[in-house]
Amino acid sequence: MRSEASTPVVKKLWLHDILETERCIIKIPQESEAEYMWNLITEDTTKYMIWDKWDDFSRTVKNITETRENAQAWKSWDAAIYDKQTERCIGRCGINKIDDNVPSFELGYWICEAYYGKWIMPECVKAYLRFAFEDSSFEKGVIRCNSENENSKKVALKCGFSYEWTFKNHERIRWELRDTSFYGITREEYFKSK
Amino acid sequence: MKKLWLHDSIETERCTLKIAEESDAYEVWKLIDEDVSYFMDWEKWENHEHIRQTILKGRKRVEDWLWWYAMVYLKDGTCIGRFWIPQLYDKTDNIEIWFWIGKKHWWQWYIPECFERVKEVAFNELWVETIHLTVNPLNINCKKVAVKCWLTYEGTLRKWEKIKWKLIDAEFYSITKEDYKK
Repeated sequence: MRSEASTPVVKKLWLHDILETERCIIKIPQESEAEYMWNLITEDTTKYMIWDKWDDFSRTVKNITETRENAQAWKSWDAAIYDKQTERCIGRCGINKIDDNVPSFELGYWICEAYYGKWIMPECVKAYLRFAFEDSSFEKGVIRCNSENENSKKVALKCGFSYEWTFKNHERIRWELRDTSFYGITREEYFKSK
Repeated sequence: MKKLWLHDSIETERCTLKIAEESDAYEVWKLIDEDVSYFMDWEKWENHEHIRQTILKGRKRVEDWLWWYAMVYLKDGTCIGRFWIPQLYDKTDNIEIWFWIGKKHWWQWYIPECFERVKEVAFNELWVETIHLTVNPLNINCKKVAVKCWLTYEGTLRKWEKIKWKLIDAEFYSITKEDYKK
């Protein structure tokens, strides 16, 4: 584990890396899981997202191929969450935007309806924070969510993020303009809250 | 939807915003001193050749619909600063504006004057829904522009970027079309 005062080394996550929590395994998915993953995506899981439920699972295959390419190039590490008991994929949680200059990262996530209310996501987000601040030398983490997505905001707050700002009219979801709320956690805040 | 092109210009009472010419390079270079570049992620350029290259890249980006890299000229044709306006794609509803102005032209409110006119064009002709500014919290002059142009402080992103080896926060200011119309 890296102490706060030591020289920064940005450790990266690669294609075959794994993060582990008490109940889950987080790793990059494979194309062969596309159909199963596509079936997890419902109208409710995508309610606050800019992407709709995909028409057919070929788009999920394409998404997984891109995910794997991006993980190989450290452009993102957009992993899938697997339930340790069933070994089945139950959602996604990943680093979508990496700024190597700060260095900072942005987390994005969703979970299938069957796992709502089980507090799986805070467990996964905390695994990313451990990696980013303890194993690596990130300075800042960001979660951005649709301003109406109360569950996503709760995850951010439960994991020690603070509200930073709201981007008005940020993006269109099903043609309607929506605001986006930004939550952030700094390295100092992470270690203080431990 | 209207877009801004290479030969378009935006007129204000005292200024004209238009795309820089290669021949402006020396004049622009003379405007950039340590104070002007203090809050920016670029240093004072060593010679005007760098500026010429930037202007050429800027013109290419206008052709490619990426940015509208306008220069600010006084009515007598003197170049005094720069204004960046992103080009708008069909799905773009919000734009971020950047600007700087040569030190000898500070305190004459040229930037708020240009900003007001850009707001008019953006909200009435380009169908923009929100304009926002990202401001270094120590950049008091830029904050004054935001306030004078009726932008609202929306919050601060901590450790937003690294400039000259220092991690800095960013304050966000914005104005929506709805607020503008009010």
